[in-house]
Amino acid sequence: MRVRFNFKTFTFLLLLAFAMFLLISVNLSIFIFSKVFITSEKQREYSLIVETFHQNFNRLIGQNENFLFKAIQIIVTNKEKREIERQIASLFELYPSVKYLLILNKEGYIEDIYPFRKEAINIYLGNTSMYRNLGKYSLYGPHIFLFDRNVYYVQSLFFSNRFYVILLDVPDFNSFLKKLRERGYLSFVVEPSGRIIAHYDERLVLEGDNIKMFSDNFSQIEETRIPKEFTINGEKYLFICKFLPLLNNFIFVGNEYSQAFAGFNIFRSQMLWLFLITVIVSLVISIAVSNFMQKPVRVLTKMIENIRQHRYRIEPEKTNFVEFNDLSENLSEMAKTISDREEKISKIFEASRDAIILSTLQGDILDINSAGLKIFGYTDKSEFLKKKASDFYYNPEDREKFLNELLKKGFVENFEGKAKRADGTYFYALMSSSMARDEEGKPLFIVSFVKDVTDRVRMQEQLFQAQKMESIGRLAGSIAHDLNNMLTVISSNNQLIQMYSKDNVRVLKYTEGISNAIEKTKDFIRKLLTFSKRQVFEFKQYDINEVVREEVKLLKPTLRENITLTVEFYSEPLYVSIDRTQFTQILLNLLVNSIEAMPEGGSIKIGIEKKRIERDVANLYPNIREGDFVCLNFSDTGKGIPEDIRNRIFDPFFTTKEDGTGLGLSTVHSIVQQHKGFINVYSEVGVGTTFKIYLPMAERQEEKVELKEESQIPIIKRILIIEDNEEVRVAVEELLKSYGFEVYSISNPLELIEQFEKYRDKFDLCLSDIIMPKMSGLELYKRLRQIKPDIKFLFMTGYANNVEQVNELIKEGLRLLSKPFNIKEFLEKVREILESK
Amino acid sequence: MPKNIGRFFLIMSSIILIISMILWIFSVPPKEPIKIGLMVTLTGSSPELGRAIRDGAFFAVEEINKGGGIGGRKLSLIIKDNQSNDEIGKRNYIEFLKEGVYAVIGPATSTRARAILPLIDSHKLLVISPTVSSTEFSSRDDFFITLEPNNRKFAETLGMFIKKKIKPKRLILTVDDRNPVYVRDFSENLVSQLDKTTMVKTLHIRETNPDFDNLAKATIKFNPDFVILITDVFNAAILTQKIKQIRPEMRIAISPWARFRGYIEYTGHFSNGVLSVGYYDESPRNKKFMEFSKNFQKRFGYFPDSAVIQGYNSVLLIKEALLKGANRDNLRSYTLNSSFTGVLDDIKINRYGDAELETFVVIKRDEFFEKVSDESKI
Repeated sequence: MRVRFNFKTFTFLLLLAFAMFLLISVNLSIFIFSKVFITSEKQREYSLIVETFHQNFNRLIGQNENFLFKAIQIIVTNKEKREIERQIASLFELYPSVKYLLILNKEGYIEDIYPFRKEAINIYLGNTSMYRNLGKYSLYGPHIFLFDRNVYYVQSLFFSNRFYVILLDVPDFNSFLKKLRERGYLSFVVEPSGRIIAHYDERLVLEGDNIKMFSDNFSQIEETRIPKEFTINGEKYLFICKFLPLLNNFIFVGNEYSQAFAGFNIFRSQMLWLFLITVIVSLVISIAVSNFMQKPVRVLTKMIENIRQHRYRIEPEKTNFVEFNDLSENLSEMAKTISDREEKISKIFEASRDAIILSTLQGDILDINSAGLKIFGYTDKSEFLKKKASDFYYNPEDREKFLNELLKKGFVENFEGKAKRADGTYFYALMSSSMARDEEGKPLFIVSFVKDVTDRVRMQEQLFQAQKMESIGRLAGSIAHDLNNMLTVISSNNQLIQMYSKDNVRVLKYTEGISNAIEKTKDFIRKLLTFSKRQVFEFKQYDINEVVREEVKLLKPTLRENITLTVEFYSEPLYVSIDRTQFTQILLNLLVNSIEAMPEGGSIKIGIEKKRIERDVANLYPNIREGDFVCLNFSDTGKGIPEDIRNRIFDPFFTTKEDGTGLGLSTVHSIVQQHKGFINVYSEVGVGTTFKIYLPMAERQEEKVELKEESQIPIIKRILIIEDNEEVRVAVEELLKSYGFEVYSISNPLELIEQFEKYRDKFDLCLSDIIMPKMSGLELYKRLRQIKPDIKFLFMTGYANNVEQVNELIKEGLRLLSKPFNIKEFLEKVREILESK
Repeated sequence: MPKNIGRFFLIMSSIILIISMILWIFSVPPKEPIKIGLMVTLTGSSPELGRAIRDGAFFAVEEINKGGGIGGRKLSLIIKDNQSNDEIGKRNYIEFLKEGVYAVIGPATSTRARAILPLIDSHKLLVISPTVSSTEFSSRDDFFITLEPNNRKFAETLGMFIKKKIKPKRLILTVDDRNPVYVRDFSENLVSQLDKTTMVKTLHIRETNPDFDNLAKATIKFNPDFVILITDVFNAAILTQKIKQIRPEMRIAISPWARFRGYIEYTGHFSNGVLSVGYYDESPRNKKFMEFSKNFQKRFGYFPDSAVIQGYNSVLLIKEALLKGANRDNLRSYTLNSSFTGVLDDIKINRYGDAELETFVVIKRDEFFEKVSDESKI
């Protein structure tokens, strides 16, 4: 666990610790020094007192001995009892502490006593401790005297076979100890057993107390070398104990502990004050120092806090410390660097047109850029951040797949799925993510780049559709070519039969049936060629508003009463280059679908807009160039198209109707494509469907008004047929001949070129197939035109592999006759050729 | 550096805290000691008895405290000196009440006891007297416990012995008038046991320093077969010497009042053969006494007598009651009708609070009073 302090506390604790250390160490050293010093000092004092006591005691003993000597002298020198008593009485007055003088014989009987007591004479004291100690000690006691029952000390002198014993008063013996007490010293004398025989408190002597009763420290009475601590009744004392050999007793001299160490106690008290002052000073200094030191720290902290709060415009502040100033400047620079870097990151973040999302593994959203909000359809960022990542997956299993891959590889690249918008709709999202980790490799957050690829997906779908249509178209074109050739043979022969059997009603009836069948087959093949783009269009510029207005007039009567049709026109003319017939086909097919989708009624809405298609979108569609487009919105409120079939509605022959051909929408799609446009569909089941048809806008071209000169139409009688298919060639040749034309035919264009001079003046019109094995009809035309510039060509074709080539052919004023044709159509084209000339 | 200092502070604080916690947990505050009061005469006239009681009681308290006290509580002996003064005795008793002592040991004499008896009856603070033996204190339903056999019992034992073994015809009864209650109690009960034909003469000691020579002469003049001294140690010692110096063969008995070490010390060989009455044998035959005597002498430096023993026993009686669960308020009920192990024997306390001890005649031989058996030569 790490302890944290603020600067002020730390400084205070440091100073306090220092003060305490100082106090304790100084106090301890002084205590040890003082104790040793004072104890040593006291030892000298006490020893001196003991010595003084000893001297006084010796003097007392000497005085008492003087008494004894004088008394013995009186007794020996005087024979008169009365005189002896008188002189000894005088002696008692000189020695007031002496109370009795006993003269004992060797057996212990009292021979005499002063002051005289008759009843004491001849009393045996030989069994008393007083008698037993005679001669052993100079002065001893106290002992109770049998006759007055008072306590006395005893001193004796053996002289002339007798013991001269004096009994001394105890108070006098204690006087010395009392005087010491007055000077502050405590002293007492005890027997080896502990019995107190002299004490500064005389009461203890009188009570016969034993010093052992006052403290366990006295359990062993023995000398001490140096003063020792004694505890008596909870109070501490300092005593030295010395043996008094003359008395056979011990003397204790000392002081109350507090008194003995008074000097030290005063010093200790001063140290305590010093400590308190030090603490207070420490506190004041710590506050002052820490404030002074903290100021630059606070400045730096504030700067760091600003950086943390993303406020990078911070100026370096000046303090009294160079180091802090350097640090402050560095911080300011650092903030600037961070600011620049963050700004860059922020710009990258915000400038991205794709969504950039920061999230956690648990799905919490940390941040999203503006583009992301737009893509996901949010305006309020906080609303988005409240969501979980899983909320944005249209298919929940996608989230699981995404996380599995991320955890496995550490990144996810081009993960494609459907993502939910704020309004619940979805879009196709292309997501790349990677995991940001810390130094230890633990996941920090996930960075995800999300691109809305809905348009691209749709384009891809359309491309796929186009490719599919292309394949089908090629097949259809191939079939149509052969079919048309065969129909041409059939049609031509049928016309010949009709012509030669004018009178045969039955034959006419049957051939009429054949003619109808040929017409229906032709119409079918035409539709087939339309969605397979093999149909040749005639483009002209129109204002889309006008075209739609006119078409709506024609279409409205076909609507049921429970269906309304509204049109929103664009505010200005929008010109498009269209084949009017095909455009009508688009509207008609869409209208039919909408009507069928609204059996219970509803509304159809047609809107016209102008849209700009950028290069990146244009690149997604085949044959689409960037630029301005007219967008025709065709919406209904029908039952909608289920999602599972939505990508198949433009497939040819795909239908959900029992009697449908499956060519309606595929035709629309094909026509739009052949107009270099594209179509998108938006549908929701139960809500309706919207088709958006984009057609490239055309620059307005002034219509060239050609004044037709009235001229005589030249007569065309001789026709040269160039057709590689023999059956067709024969059938057409027969047909034309039957109508009075002079017909020559040739199967190989190269042969014609080689023998052109031979035919040069033998025909008025070349009726040529376009697609031939060795040379195309157009190439033939170009070669022959070089030879004969005024040559007239009419092309016939079952279909066109290269529509552009055919359109170019048309642009050059050449005419095209679609197989199969009847003589009427042929004559019409011939007339057009002649008129154009 | 701050990190290290921070750690140092943390460690030091933790150590101090832990030590404080341990000390706080394991340091049991010392229990309040059990206070026992002791009031005897320590100064003034005849202090020896009181001092002996004090030393005996103190010795017991010291031994108990060395053994851990009672229930973990130490005994505290508060000593007060009556100074041979009844008023001071009363004051001491009141002070003990205020100081909350469990019981009071003392006083030593019947006279002091009589003075405080009304206070004891009113305040009901248990008093255990180690040495009071006046019969008037026996068989009383009060708060005054006596450990010493009463005078009547002593007197009757001695009287019966004298009657049976001495069979005196002329008997001197020397009585000390300074303690009339005791003297009358003892002498009456003793005399009541004597043969009616025994001529008894009573001599009175009426002052502190009487004329012992005249008393001795008066005793001899009566020509008694037997002398009984009912007085204290000192008077008894002097009179014994005086009588024996005149008539060494004189048979003497002393009352328990004088049957102490001082008597032996002050009489020496003069007291050999002197009879008395007691309840324990001081001779080396009594191993328990010898053991106790040895320990006591080692501690206090003098030979223990009955006062020491009873002082010691007083504390043992209180200890026994406390061990049985007594408290300050019900100590008496735990002592009455109880028994406890005394210094020398098991002692039974009857329902009146009187110790029921066997008394017997003792004879002074050498330096001690020896129990007189039926076979003993007297």
